[in-house]
Amino acid sequence: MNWKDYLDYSKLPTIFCPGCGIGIGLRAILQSLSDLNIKKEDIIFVSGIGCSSRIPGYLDLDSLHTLHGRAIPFATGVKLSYPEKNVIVITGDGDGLSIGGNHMIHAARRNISIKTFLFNNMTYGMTGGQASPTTPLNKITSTTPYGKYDSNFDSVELLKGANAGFIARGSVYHYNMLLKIVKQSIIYKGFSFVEILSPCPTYYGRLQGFEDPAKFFVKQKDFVYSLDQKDRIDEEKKDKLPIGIFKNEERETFEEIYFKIVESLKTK
Amino acid sequence: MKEFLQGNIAASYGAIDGGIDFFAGYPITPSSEILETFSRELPKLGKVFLQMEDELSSICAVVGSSLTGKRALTATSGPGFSLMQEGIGYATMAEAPCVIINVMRGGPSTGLPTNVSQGDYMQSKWGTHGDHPIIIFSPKNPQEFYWLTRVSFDVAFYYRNPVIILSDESVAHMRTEVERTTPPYNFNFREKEKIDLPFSFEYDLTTNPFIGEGKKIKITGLFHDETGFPTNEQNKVEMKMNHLINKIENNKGNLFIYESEDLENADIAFVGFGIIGGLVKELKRIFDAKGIKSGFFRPITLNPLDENKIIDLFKNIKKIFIIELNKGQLYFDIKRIFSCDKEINFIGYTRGEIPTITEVYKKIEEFL
Repeated sequence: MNWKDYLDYSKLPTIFCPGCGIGIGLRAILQSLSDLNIKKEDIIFVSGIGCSSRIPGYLDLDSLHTLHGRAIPFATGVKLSYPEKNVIVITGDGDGLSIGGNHMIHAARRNISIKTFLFNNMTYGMTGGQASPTTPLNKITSTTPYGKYDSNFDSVELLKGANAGFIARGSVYHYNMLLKIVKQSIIYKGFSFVEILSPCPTYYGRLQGFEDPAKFFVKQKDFVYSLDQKDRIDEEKKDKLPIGIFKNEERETFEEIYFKIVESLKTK
Repeated sequence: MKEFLQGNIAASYGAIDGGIDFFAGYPITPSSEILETFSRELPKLGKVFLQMEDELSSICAVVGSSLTGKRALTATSGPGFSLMQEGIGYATMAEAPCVIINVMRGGPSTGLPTNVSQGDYMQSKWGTHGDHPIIIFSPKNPQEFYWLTRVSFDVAFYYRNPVIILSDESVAHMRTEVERTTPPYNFNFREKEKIDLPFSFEYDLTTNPFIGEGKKIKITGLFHDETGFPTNEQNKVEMKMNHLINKIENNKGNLFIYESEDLENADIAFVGFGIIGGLVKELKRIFDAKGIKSGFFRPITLNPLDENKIIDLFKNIKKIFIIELNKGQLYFDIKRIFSCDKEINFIGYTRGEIPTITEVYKKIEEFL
């Protein structure tokens, strides 16, 4: 199936701003589903609230657009009701790391097979460019006019601490690499977490002084370094985010353990 | 066969006999025995039991599961019920047929965790923001707790709406004989129109597809059209809101169940819900014996209240005594229904215990 077949054309155009990175991230997800030949009826999308969380509405398959921060608990209910389906969560930095941060770490710990894609644009785009937990220190946003006072989350480190089995970060600027990461995460059995760095030119970019979305886009290249570039000296990595797959280790999933217990009780 | 069961355990068995598929919850006094009973029983039945990280996620997992067409339930108490309000609001908007048991304890805030109260009557009705439909049942004893929980899934699925079972610490922790029999209620379920879209604004009640059936449906908590896609077109928003309210309002007669005695021949009536049901019945007997013609009324359905039915039931009553374990919440509704044409007296207790019949009797005598 072509990646375009997953789209619900009757609902287009999207609400995303010109120059937004969400479309590229979505393309990587749909391309992966297409490459892996996953049927529409075997997929359920679940999202929270925010720009990226509007993705499921544009897809021609079953989807739940839920409450702010709560995509993962809704997805937990869906996954355990349909263990054989691919349950994909779309969330953002505010949705998944601020209001929904607790659900994120517990889902990782529990290892329920939910494929999580967190679009990190470092701001609350839907509500007008406020500071989010991933906005770096000192940056100007609509709620930090004098510069951000508090430090940002490193989602990768957070998920490591929560014992997630698949942890990765990609950027929409590095599309080919992102595609590889997304595909791997969909194949992965268990809770997978992929952060997708995706620029918001309308708010975050503009408030950092970028008048042109294209220039802000290119900036991503200087903002990250690939995990594969091992020869880079530490000085070059300073203040930059690594992209790549940080962890890919399978362990028994919640469903496997739970339904094993269910089976063992049947024989008694 | 009669069993000697605690209210919380009876309710859990009610859910099991009602066909529960999915439970998610979080420990909280005085509802924890429900969580514990399901942790023991559901794996044996091949059903899903989940202990979540909080009540926010518990209700969301339950709503998520119910939107796949599964019979899903959660149980909590005051503080947890407050946290669940956003999820309950979503369930009303998404028309998710889930069940929430709230075992009332003293509030506000952390309040009185181990003591009885009826302070969540209004919160059950109006706890989540915005105009919304809700169905609330309130049991008076473990047997009724069993029946109402068992039938609640059928009601939730028929109306495509969350159902709240508003119990309390005393009903939940009381141990009595319980029979696991078919609930003795007639809700008048009829054949519904079959629809292929996730929502219908044309008919009050329809059979719509669920997530996961391959019908490629969208569901959102935003105002939406019949395809489930977000919209802020004024006529569609209004149609959706009217649909939500009308599906319950137009079926009040079928949903409203109650217990009453001798209201047509009496001058005074004693009114109470839940655990107070026994007390108002006893008061009627005592006053009858004293030669004062009296009746009693206990709504089992707390929402929707069938106002016209209540007005008709009370047409000969001159004085009403409402007894509650709060500061006057059902009282508020009864006063609203009768405006000024009857003498309505309220007697409330909020110290965390059920008053003795003697204490209430003396209080009523002051009014007579």
